[in-house]
Amino acid sequence: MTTKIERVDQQRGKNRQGFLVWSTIFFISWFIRSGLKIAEVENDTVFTVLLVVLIISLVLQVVYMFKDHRLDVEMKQDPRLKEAMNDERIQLNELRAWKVGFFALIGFIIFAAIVSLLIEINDMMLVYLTALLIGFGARNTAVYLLDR
Amino acid sequence: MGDKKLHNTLKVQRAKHNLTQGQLAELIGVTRKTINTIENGVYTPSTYLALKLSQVFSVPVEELFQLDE
Repeated sequence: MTTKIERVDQQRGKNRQGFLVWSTIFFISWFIRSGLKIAEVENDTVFTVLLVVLIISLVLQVVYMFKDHRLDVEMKQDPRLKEAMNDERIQLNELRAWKVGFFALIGFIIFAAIVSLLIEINDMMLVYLTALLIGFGARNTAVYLLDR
Repeated sequence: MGDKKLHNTLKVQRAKHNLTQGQLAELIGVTRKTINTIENGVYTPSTYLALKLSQVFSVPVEELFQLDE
């Protein structure tokens, strides 16, 4: 018999997996697009395709976030369920995941600093946004992997 | 953590009480994965959770968790 906790936990796992898949696709497209921009490559077709992929993956990420939000609402209505879904192991995994995200962000900033010595980077906002995406993505990946 | 490994008799106690991991998880308010990771020695529970487990099985906590001799 599947308990309510198990059902919600499985659903949360599926939501995280879906979010992770689409955020990875989003990130890869973002990284390619940023690389092409920094290298000053001008190809409208490639940029349009990447933009479409970015928009589709962003929409699907929002869909999975919405699904996760619905589970949050269900948890809020049942304090026992909420407590179980945030038990001490899950809280520890969250902390570990933020640590992974932080180090990924620092790692990328060091990488960007080294690259900036070799080539001139004009769009620093792009670097900051990429760093944030890497940090957040690493955190999400770590949450998923630690909770498998 | 240390040179001594932590062992547990959770699986044995569960079998004695005819409980699945999911049912035990429900009883103490955690996920089934948490019970699974404790049983396999992947996760070491807090004192609070260890005491909750010993309460469910009505055994002293030392009977559930032991360090290597």
